[in-house]
Amino acid sequence: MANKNFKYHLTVRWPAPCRNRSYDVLQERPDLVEQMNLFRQKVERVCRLILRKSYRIDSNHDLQGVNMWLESGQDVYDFIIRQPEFEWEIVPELSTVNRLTGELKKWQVVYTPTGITIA
Amino acid sequence: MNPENCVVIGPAPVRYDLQKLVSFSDTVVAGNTHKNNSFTYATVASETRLQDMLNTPSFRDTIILAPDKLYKKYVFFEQIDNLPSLPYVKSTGKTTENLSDQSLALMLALWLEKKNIYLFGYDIENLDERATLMLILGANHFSNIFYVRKPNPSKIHLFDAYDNMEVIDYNQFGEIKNGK
Repeated sequence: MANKNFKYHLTVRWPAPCRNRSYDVLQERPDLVEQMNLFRQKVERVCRLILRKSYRIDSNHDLQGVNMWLESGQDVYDFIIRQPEFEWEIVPELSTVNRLTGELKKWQVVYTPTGITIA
Repeated sequence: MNPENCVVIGPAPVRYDLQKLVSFSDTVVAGNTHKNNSFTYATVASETRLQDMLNTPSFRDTIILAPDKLYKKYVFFEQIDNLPSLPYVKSTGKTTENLSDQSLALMLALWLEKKNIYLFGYDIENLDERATLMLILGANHFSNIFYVRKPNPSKIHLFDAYDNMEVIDYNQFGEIKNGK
């Protein structure tokens, strides 16, 4: 899986009490760290369950949330559309790696009554 | 395969074995024409043609490049990527969205900084397309561009004013390809 070329990147926000906590605060609040670890495990379990192609969850800590890399566009779409089912929220941005230039470009995810569009 | 060469395949009929072109160099095909072969890159600016390409098995391994506006609508299809910022677009006075597939294909080959670019099936009968090609030729000072056509005794003098453009036929291309 390490050699896979992941095309899509998105971030799942931490649970509300854990968002935008500095490292100092996290050191003093092991309960938050535990909650974040449990959340990461939940994301991992759900990914294993619903994603059809390869994915990678970054182990590096990010103040925003859990960073994910996905191979399949269909998986990305399903993951975004099924957020309410798993009671989490993604940062409404989707990054894609251009296979020609290698550039990582960020796009806005816009929710519409019929689904999602990219702006 | 010589990395300095690139073949651009336009929408007009090509009476040359395309498989030989694929083995000769990187290939950029314009739109959904020539569906029987698999090419390195394809450029497309129209949604209907893009949909057709997505449903065509020969495009499965091709990197399909579309302008940002179109790409955003099809971002969840892995075969598609957005076109890079093409420097010659400005010289045509148009945007990537309203340029033809073949102009985008040529500009992509120029962006790839290929030394020799061979145009097959490139439509120059359309006057708009011809004018765009001439604007690109005027702006390009790096690549040598060859308009390749089937052998024909009548000469084309359209591009005489451009040092970086040459008209050759399939036989002359065959000699170049075979290193003669």
